[in-house]
Amino acid sequence: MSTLSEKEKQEVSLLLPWYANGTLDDADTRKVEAALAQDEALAREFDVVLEDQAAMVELVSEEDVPISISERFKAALNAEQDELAPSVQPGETGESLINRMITALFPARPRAYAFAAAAIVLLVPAVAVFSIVNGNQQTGQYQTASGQEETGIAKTRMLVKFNPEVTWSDIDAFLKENRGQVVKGPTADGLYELELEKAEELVEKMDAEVGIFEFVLPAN
Amino acid sequence: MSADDDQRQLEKVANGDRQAIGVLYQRHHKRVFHFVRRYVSDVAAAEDLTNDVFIEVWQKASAYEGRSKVSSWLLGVARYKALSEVRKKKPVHSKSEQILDALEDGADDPEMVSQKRDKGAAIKRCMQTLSRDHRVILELIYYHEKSIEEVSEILDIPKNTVKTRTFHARKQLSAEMTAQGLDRGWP
Repeated sequence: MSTLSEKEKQEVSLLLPWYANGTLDDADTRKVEAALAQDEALAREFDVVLEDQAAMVELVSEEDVPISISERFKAALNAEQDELAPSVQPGETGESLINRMITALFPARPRAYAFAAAAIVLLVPAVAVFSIVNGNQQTGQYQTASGQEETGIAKTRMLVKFNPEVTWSDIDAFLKENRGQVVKGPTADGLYELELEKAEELVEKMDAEVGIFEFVLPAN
Repeated sequence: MSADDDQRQLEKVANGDRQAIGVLYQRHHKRVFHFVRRYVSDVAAAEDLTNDVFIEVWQKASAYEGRSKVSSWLLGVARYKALSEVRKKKPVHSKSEQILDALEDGADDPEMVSQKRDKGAAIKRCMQTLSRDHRVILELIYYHEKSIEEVSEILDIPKNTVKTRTFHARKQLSAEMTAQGLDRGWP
Protein backbone atom coordinates (compact mmCIF):
# COMPACT_ATOMS: atom_id res chain seq x y z
CA MET A 1 0.00 0.00 0.00
CA SER A 2 1.26 3.43 -0.96
CA THR A 3 2.47 5.70 1.79
CA LEU A 4 3.24 8.54 -0.58
CA SER A 5 1.62 11.90 -0.12
CA GLU A 6 -0.23 13.46 -3.06
CA LYS A 7 2.60 15.95 -3.44
CA GLU A 8 5.17 13.15 -3.59
CA LYS A 9 3.09 11.27 -6.15
CA GLN A 10 2.81 14.40 -8.26
CA GLU A 11 6.55 14.98 -8.12
CA VAL A 12 7.23 11.43 -9.24
CA SER A 13 4.56 11.64 -11.93
CA LEU A 14 6.34 14.63 -13.43
CA LEU A 15 9.63 12.69 -13.60
CA LEU A 16 8.31 9.51 -15.23
CA PRO A 17 9.17 10.43 -18.86
CA TRP A 18 12.80 10.96 -17.89
CA TYR A 19 12.88 7.79 -15.86
CA ALA A 20 11.74 6.09 -19.08
CA ASN A 21 14.51 7.66 -21.17
CA GLY A 22 17.16 7.03 -18.52
CA THR A 23 18.41 10.57 -18.01
CA LEU A 24 17.49 11.14 -14.36
CA ASP A 25 20.27 11.55 -11.84
CA ASP A 26 20.81 8.83 -9.24
CA ALA A 27 18.77 10.50 -6.49
CA ASP A 28 15.71 11.02 -8.70
CA THR A 29 16.06 7.54 -10.16
CA ARG A 30 15.96 6.00 -6.68
CA LYS A 31 13.02 8.18 -5.74
CA VAL A 32 11.01 7.09 -8.79
CA GLU A 33 11.89 3.42 -8.37
CA ALA A 34 10.82 3.44 -4.74
CA ALA A 35 7.55 5.16 -5.62
CA LEU A 36 6.76 2.75 -8.49
CA ALA A 37 7.38 -0.18 -6.21
CA GLN A 38 4.74 0.89 -3.72
CA ASP A 39 2.14 2.84 -5.72
CA GLU A 40 0.02 0.90 -8.26
CA ALA A 41 -1.49 4.03 -9.81
CA LEU A 42 1.96 5.40 -10.53
CA ALA A 43 3.03 2.03 -11.92
CA ARG A 44 0.04 2.05 -14.32
CA GLU A 45 0.86 5.61 -15.28
CA PHE A 46 4.41 4.53 -16.05
CA ASP A 47 3.08 1.79 -18.34
CA VAL A 48 1.26 4.52 -20.26
CA VAL A 49 4.50 6.51 -20.48
CA LEU A 50 6.30 3.47 -21.92
CA GLU A 51 3.53 3.03 -24.51
CA ASP A 52 3.86 6.69 -25.48
CA GLN A 53 7.61 6.40 -25.72
CA ALA A 54 7.42 3.35 -28.01
CA ALA A 55 4.80 5.00 -30.21
CA MET A 56 6.76 8.24 -30.49
CA VAL A 57 9.98 6.50 -31.48
CA GLU A 58 8.08 4.49 -34.08
CA LEU A 59 6.23 7.53 -35.37
CA VAL A 60 9.32 9.65 -35.87
CA SER A 61 11.31 6.78 -37.33
CA GLU A 62 8.62 6.28 -39.96
CA GLU A 63 9.19 9.81 -41.21
CA ASP A 64 11.27 9.60 -44.36
CA VAL A 65 14.37 11.73 -44.66
CA PRO A 66 14.78 12.86 -48.29
CA ILE A 67 17.46 10.87 -50.10
CA SER A 68 18.82 14.06 -51.63
CA ILE A 69 19.53 15.75 -48.32
CA SER A 70 23.16 14.65 -47.97
CA GLU A 71 24.06 15.56 -51.55
CA ARG A 72 22.46 18.94 -51.14
CA PHE A 73 24.46 19.48 -47.97
CA LYS A 74 27.72 18.63 -49.75
CA ALA A 75 26.84 21.07 -52.51
CA ALA A 76 26.01 23.77 -49.97
CA LEU A 77 29.27 23.10 -48.13
CA ASN A 78 31.25 23.32 -51.37
CA ALA A 79 29.57 26.61 -52.22
CA GLU A 80 30.33 27.84 -48.73
CA GLN A 81 34.00 26.93 -49.10
CA ASP A 82 34.20 28.61 -52.48
CA GLU A 83 32.91 31.78 -50.88
CA LEU A 84 35.31 31.50 -47.97
CA ALA A 85 38.44 30.75 -49.97
CA PRO A 86 39.27 34.34 -51.02
CA SER A 87 38.41 35.70 -47.60
CA VAL A 88 41.34 34.06 -45.81
CA GLN A 89 43.06 36.87 -43.99
CA PRO A 90 46.84 37.27 -43.80
CA GLY A 91 46.54 37.71 -40.05
CA GLU A 92 45.36 34.17 -39.54
CA THR A 93 47.71 31.67 -37.99
CA GLY A 94 49.90 29.66 -40.30
CA GLU A 95 48.38 26.40 -39.18
CA SER A 96 44.90 27.63 -39.78
CA LEU A 97 45.85 28.96 -43.18
CA ILE A 98 47.54 25.72 -44.15
CA ASN A 99 44.57 23.75 -42.93
CA ARG A 100 42.26 25.88 -45.01
CA MET A 101 44.46 25.53 -48.07
CA ILE A 102 44.68 21.77 -47.67
CA THR A 103 40.97 21.57 -47.17
CA ALA A 104 40.36 23.68 -50.23
CA LEU A 105 42.75 21.66 -52.35
CA PHE A 106 41.68 18.25 -51.10
CA PRO A 107 38.04 18.49 -50.09
CA ALA A 108 37.91 14.97 -48.68
CA ARG A 109 41.00 14.05 -46.71
CA PRO A 110 40.88 10.31 -47.23
CA ARG A 111 40.83 11.05 -50.93
CA ALA A 112 43.80 13.31 -50.46
CA TYR A 113 45.74 10.64 -48.64
CA ALA A 114 44.83 8.17 -51.37
CA PHE A 115 45.99 10.68 -53.95
CA ALA A 116 49.29 11.15 -52.13
CA ALA A 117 49.75 7.41 -51.77
CA ALA A 118 49.03 6.91 -55.46
CA ALA A 119 51.49 9.64 -56.33
CA ILE A 120 54.17 7.91 -54.24
CA VAL A 121 53.41 4.55 -55.87
CA LEU A 122 53.85 6.12 -59.28
CA LEU A 123 56.78 8.27 -58.32
CA VAL A 124 58.97 5.60 -56.72
CA PRO A 125 59.40 3.48 -59.88
CA ALA A 126 59.74 6.64 -61.93
CA VAL A 127 62.56 7.84 -59.70
CA ALA A 128 64.14 4.41 -59.85
CA VAL A 129 64.03 4.38 -63.65
CA PHE A 130 65.24 7.94 -63.79
CA SER A 131 68.14 7.20 -61.48
CA ILE A 132 69.05 4.11 -63.48
CA VAL A 133 68.86 6.02 -66.69
CA ASN A 134 70.85 8.91 -65.31
CA GLY A 135 72.87 7.10 -62.69
CA ASN A 136 75.88 6.74 -64.93
CA GLN A 137 76.26 10.47 -65.25
CA GLN A 138 79.16 12.17 -63.59
CA THR A 139 78.61 15.74 -62.64
CA GLY A 140 79.50 17.97 -65.53
CA GLN A 141 80.07 15.11 -67.93
CA TYR A 142 76.59 14.38 -69.21
CA GLN A 143 73.41 16.30 -69.18
CA THR A 144 69.89 15.45 -70.15
CA ALA A 145 68.88 16.03 -73.72
CA SER A 146 67.56 19.45 -72.85
CA GLY A 147 70.67 20.37 -70.91
CA GLN A 148 73.90 21.83 -72.15
CA GLU A 149 76.35 19.36 -73.52
CA GLU A 150 79.99 19.30 -72.72
CA THR A 151 81.87 20.31 -75.81
CA GLY A 152 84.59 18.20 -77.39
CA ILE A 153 82.95 14.80 -76.81
CA ALA A 154 81.46 13.07 -79.82
CA LYS A 155 78.03 11.68 -79.19
CA THR A 156 75.45 9.85 -81.14
CA ARG A 157 71.89 8.89 -80.70
CA MET A 158 70.47 5.44 -81.22
CA LEU A 159 66.92 4.26 -81.45
CA VAL A 160 66.64 0.96 -79.60
CA LYS A 161 64.17 -1.55 -78.40
CA PHE A 162 65.14 -3.39 -75.26
CA ASN A 163 64.67 -7.10 -75.00
CA PRO A 164 61.51 -7.71 -72.90
CA GLU A 165 63.51 -10.08 -70.69
CA VAL A 166 66.17 -7.52 -69.83
CA THR A 167 66.23 -5.88 -66.43
CA TRP A 168 66.88 -2.22 -65.70
CA SER A 169 70.04 -3.30 -63.86
CA ASP A 170 71.41 -4.73 -67.11
CA ILE A 171 70.46 -1.59 -68.98
CA ASP A 172 72.02 0.55 -66.28
CA ALA A 173 75.25 -1.43 -66.44
CA PHE A 174 75.35 -1.06 -70.21
CA LEU A 175 74.75 2.70 -70.06
CA LYS A 176 77.38 3.18 -67.40
CA GLU A 177 79.91 1.25 -69.33
CA ASN A 178 79.24 3.26 -72.46
CA ARG A 179 78.63 6.64 -70.84
CA GLY A 180 75.16 6.87 -72.21
CA GLN A 181 71.70 7.90 -71.17
CA VAL A 182 68.10 7.52 -72.20
CA VAL A 183 66.92 10.77 -73.69
CA LYS A 184 63.45 9.76 -74.91
CA GLY A 185 60.99 6.97 -74.57
CA PRO A 186 59.37 4.77 -74.36
CA THR A 187 57.17 5.40 -77.38
CA ALA A 188 53.93 3.54 -77.88
CA ASP A 189 55.98 0.87 -79.64
CA GLY A 190 58.38 0.53 -76.72
CA LEU A 191 61.27 2.35 -78.42
CA TYR A 192 63.88 4.37 -76.56
CA GLU A 193 66.31 6.94 -77.83
CA LEU A 194 69.74 6.66 -76.28
CA GLU A 195 72.57 9.13 -76.39
CA LEU A 196 75.97 7.48 -76.30
CA GLU A 197 79.65 8.20 -76.62
CA LYS A 198 82.09 6.60 -79.04
CA ALA A 199 79.51 5.69 -81.62
CA GLU A 200 81.79 3.77 -83.99
CA GLU A 201 82.77 1.20 -81.42
CA LEU A 202 79.35 1.20 -80.06
CA VAL A 203 77.44 -0.13 -83.08
CA GLU A 204 79.43 -3.32 -83.01
CA LYS A 205 79.13 -3.53 -79.29
CA MET A 206 75.39 -3.04 -79.36
CA ASP A 207 74.94 -5.58 -82.12
CA ALA A 208 76.74 -8.02 -79.88
CA GLU A 209 74.49 -7.22 -76.93
CA VAL A 210 71.65 -9.40 -78.15
CA GLY A 211 70.60 -10.00 -74.58
CA ILE A 212 69.86 -6.32 -74.09
CA PHE A 213 68.53 -5.06 -77.41
CA GLU A 214 65.93 -6.45 -79.77
CA PHE A 215 67.15 -4.03 -82.39
CA VAL A 216 69.32 -0.93 -82.74
CA LEU A 217 68.98 1.90 -85.27
CA PRO A 218 70.89 5.14 -85.64
CA ALA A 219 68.60 8.01 -84.64
CA ASN A 220 70.63 10.77 -86.31
CA MET B 1 28.31 7.74 -30.92
CA SER B 2 29.55 9.40 -27.76
CA ALA B 3 29.05 12.95 -26.56
CA ASP B 4 32.81 13.26 -26.04
CA ASP B 5 33.56 12.27 -29.60
CA ASP B 6 30.95 14.71 -30.87
CA GLN B 7 32.83 17.41 -29.03
CA ARG B 8 36.15 16.29 -30.52
CA GLN B 9 34.66 16.36 -33.99
CA LEU B 10 33.29 19.82 -33.37
CA GLU B 11 36.73 21.04 -32.32
CA LYS B 12 38.08 19.70 -35.59
CA VAL B 13 35.31 21.49 -37.46
CA ALA B 14 36.37 24.71 -35.74
CA ASN B 15 39.84 24.12 -37.26
CA GLY B 16 38.35 23.77 -40.73
CA ASP B 17 38.29 19.97 -40.89
CA ARG B 18 35.75 19.13 -43.54
CA GLN B 19 35.76 15.44 -42.75
CA ALA B 20 34.66 16.21 -39.19
CA ILE B 21 31.62 18.16 -40.31
CA GLY B 22 30.79 15.15 -42.49
CA VAL B 23 30.99 12.89 -39.44
CA LEU B 24 28.72 15.13 -37.39
CA TYR B 25 26.33 15.43 -40.30
CA GLN B 26 26.03 11.69 -40.72
CA ARG B 27 25.47 11.24 -37.00
CA HIS B 28 22.88 13.91 -36.46
CA HIS B 29 21.21 15.12 -39.63
CA LYS B 30 18.28 12.72 -39.44
CA ARG B 31 17.43 13.73 -35.90
CA VAL B 32 17.77 17.39 -36.77
CA PHE B 33 15.52 16.86 -39.79
CA HIS B 34 12.85 15.13 -37.69
CA PHE B 35 13.03 17.90 -35.12
CA VAL B 36 12.74 20.66 -37.71
CA ARG B 37 9.76 18.92 -39.27
CA ARG B 38 7.75 19.76 -36.18
CA TYR B 39 8.13 23.43 -37.03
CA VAL B 40 7.84 23.38 -40.82
CA SER B 41 5.37 21.15 -42.57
CA ASP B 42 7.07 21.39 -45.94
CA VAL B 43 9.63 18.60 -46.43
CA ALA B 44 11.82 20.63 -48.80
CA ALA B 45 11.89 23.54 -46.35
CA ALA B 46 12.82 21.14 -43.53
CA GLU B 47 15.60 19.73 -45.70
CA ASP B 48 16.96 23.22 -46.35
CA LEU B 49 16.74 24.16 -42.69
CA THR B 50 18.52 20.98 -41.64
CA ASN B 51 21.37 21.68 -44.01
CA ASP B 52 21.45 25.33 -42.90
CA VAL B 53 21.99 24.13 -39.35
CA PHE B 54 25.10 22.20 -40.35
CA ILE B 55 26.39 24.99 -42.58
CA GLU B 56 26.09 27.27 -39.55
CA VAL B 57 27.98 24.71 -37.49
CA TRP B 58 30.67 24.71 -40.15
CA GLN B 59 30.89 28.50 -40.00
CA LYS B 60 30.54 28.96 -36.27
CA ALA B 61 31.80 25.80 -34.61
CA SER B 62 34.10 27.89 -32.46
CA ALA B 63 31.02 29.51 -30.88
CA TYR B 64 30.19 26.23 -29.15
CA GLU B 65 30.99 26.67 -25.48
CA GLY B 66 30.72 23.07 -24.38
CA ARG B 67 28.00 23.71 -21.83
CA SER B 68 25.63 21.21 -23.40
CA LYS B 69 25.96 18.10 -25.52
CA VAL B 70 26.69 18.78 -29.17
CA SER B 71 23.44 17.00 -30.08
CA SER B 72 21.50 19.40 -27.83
CA TRP B 73 23.35 22.40 -29.20
CA LEU B 74 22.44 21.29 -32.73
CA LEU B 75 18.77 21.03 -31.79
CA GLY B 76 18.94 24.45 -30.16
CA VAL B 77 20.38 25.92 -33.38
CA ALA B 78 17.74 24.03 -35.36
CA ARG B 79 14.92 25.39 -33.20
CA TYR B 80 16.18 28.96 -33.56
CA LYS B 81 16.40 28.64 -37.33
CA ALA B 82 13.06 26.90 -37.61
CA LEU B 83 11.30 29.54 -35.54
CA SER B 84 12.87 32.28 -37.66
CA GLU B 85 11.56 30.51 -40.72
CA VAL B 86 8.10 30.08 -39.21
CA ARG B 87 7.96 33.77 -38.28
CA LYS B 88 8.60 34.69 -41.89
CA LYS B 89 5.53 32.73 -42.88
CA LYS B 90 2.19 32.08 -41.29
CA PRO B 91 2.68 29.52 -38.52
CA VAL B 92 1.36 26.08 -39.25
CA HIS B 93 -0.45 24.65 -36.24
CA SER B 94 -1.81 21.20 -35.79
CA LYS B 95 -5.49 21.14 -36.45
CA SER B 96 -6.64 18.34 -34.23
CA GLU B 97 -10.32 18.68 -35.04
CA GLN B 98 -9.69 18.41 -38.76
CA ILE B 99 -7.45 15.40 -38.28
CA LEU B 100 -9.94 13.70 -35.99
CA ASP B 101 -12.71 14.42 -38.47
CA ALA B 102 -10.64 12.78 -41.14
CA LEU B 103 -10.11 9.75 -38.92
CA GLU B 104 -13.83 9.48 -38.21
CA ASP B 105 -14.59 9.75 -41.92
CA GLY B 106 -12.41 6.76 -42.53
CA ALA B 107 -13.97 4.72 -39.73
CA ASP B 108 -16.08 2.69 -42.15
CA ASP B 109 -12.94 1.47 -43.87
CA PRO B 110 -12.25 -2.05 -42.49
CA GLU B 111 -8.54 -1.39 -42.59
CA MET B 112 -8.96 1.75 -40.53
CA VAL B 113 -11.14 -0.11 -38.05
CA SER B 114 -8.42 -2.69 -37.72
CA GLN B 115 -5.82 0.01 -37.20
CA LYS B 116 -7.91 1.64 -34.51
CA ARG B 117 -7.79 -1.58 -32.59
CA ASP B 118 -4.06 -1.34 -32.63
CA LYS B 119 -3.18 0.72 -29.62
CA GLY B 120 0.23 1.76 -30.88
CA ALA B 121 -1.22 3.01 -34.14
CA ALA B 122 -3.89 4.91 -32.23
CA ILE B 123 -1.31 6.59 -30.02
CA LYS B 124 0.64 7.60 -33.09
CA ARG B 125 -2.45 9.07 -34.70
CA CYS B 126 -3.22 11.00 -31.55
CA MET B 127 0.33 12.27 -31.30
CA GLN B 128 -0.15 13.85 -34.68
CA THR B 129 -3.05 15.84 -33.30
CA LEU B 130 -1.01 17.43 -30.50
CA SER B 131 -0.04 21.07 -30.61
CA ARG B 132 3.44 21.75 -31.87
CA ASP B 133 4.80 22.59 -28.43
CA HIS B 134 3.41 19.41 -26.94
CA ARG B 135 4.64 17.20 -29.69
CA VAL B 136 8.09 18.80 -29.71
CA ILE B 137 8.61 18.30 -26.02
CA LEU B 138 7.49 14.66 -26.09
CA GLU B 139 9.70 14.03 -29.09
CA LEU B 140 12.71 15.56 -27.35
CA ILE B 141 12.20 13.26 -24.39
CA TYR B 142 11.12 10.03 -26.03
CA TYR B 143 12.87 10.12 -29.40
CA HIS B 144 15.88 12.36 -28.77
CA GLU B 145 16.27 11.03 -25.20
CA LYS B 146 16.99 14.45 -23.74
CA SER B 147 17.22 15.15 -20.02
CA ILE B 148 15.19 17.84 -18.26
CA GLU B 149 18.20 20.17 -18.38
CA GLU B 150 18.81 19.55 -22.06
CA VAL B 151 15.18 20.13 -23.01
CA SER B 152 15.33 23.33 -21.00
CA GLU B 153 18.39 24.49 -22.98
CA ILE B 154 17.04 23.48 -26.37
CA LEU B 155 13.65 25.11 -25.88
CA ASP B 156 15.02 27.95 -23.79
CA ILE B 157 12.44 27.51 -21.03
CA PRO B 158 12.86 26.91 -17.26
CA LYS B 159 13.17 23.34 -16.00
CA ASN B 160 9.90 23.51 -14.12
CA THR B 161 8.17 24.59 -17.30
CA VAL B 162 9.73 21.60 -19.03
CA LYS B 163 8.17 19.29 -16.44
CA THR B 164 4.74 20.87 -16.41
CA ARG B 165 4.54 21.22 -20.19
CA THR B 166 5.46 17.57 -20.55
CA PHE B 167 2.81 16.59 -18.04
CA HIS B 168 0.19 18.59 -19.95
CA ALA B 169 1.33 17.08 -23.24
CA ARG B 170 0.84 13.58 -21.81
CA LYS B 171 -2.57 14.52 -20.46
CA GLN B 172 -3.58 15.97 -23.81
CA LEU B 173 -2.47 12.79 -25.53
CA SER B 174 -4.55 10.66 -23.22
CA ALA B 175 -7.49 13.00 -23.70
CA GLU B 176 -7.19 12.51 -27.46
CA MET B 177 -7.11 8.75 -26.91
CA THR B 178 -10.21 8.91 -24.74
CA ALA B 179 -11.96 11.00 -27.37
CA GLN B 180 -11.34 8.12 -29.78
CA GLY B 181 -12.81 5.65 -27.33
CA LEU B 182 -9.48 4.31 -26.13
CA ASP B 183 -9.35 4.96 -22.42
CA ARG B 184 -5.94 3.98 -21.04
CA GLY B 185 -6.86 4.50 -17.41
CA TRP B 186 -4.77 7.60 -17.02
CA PRO B 187 -5.18 10.35 -15.90
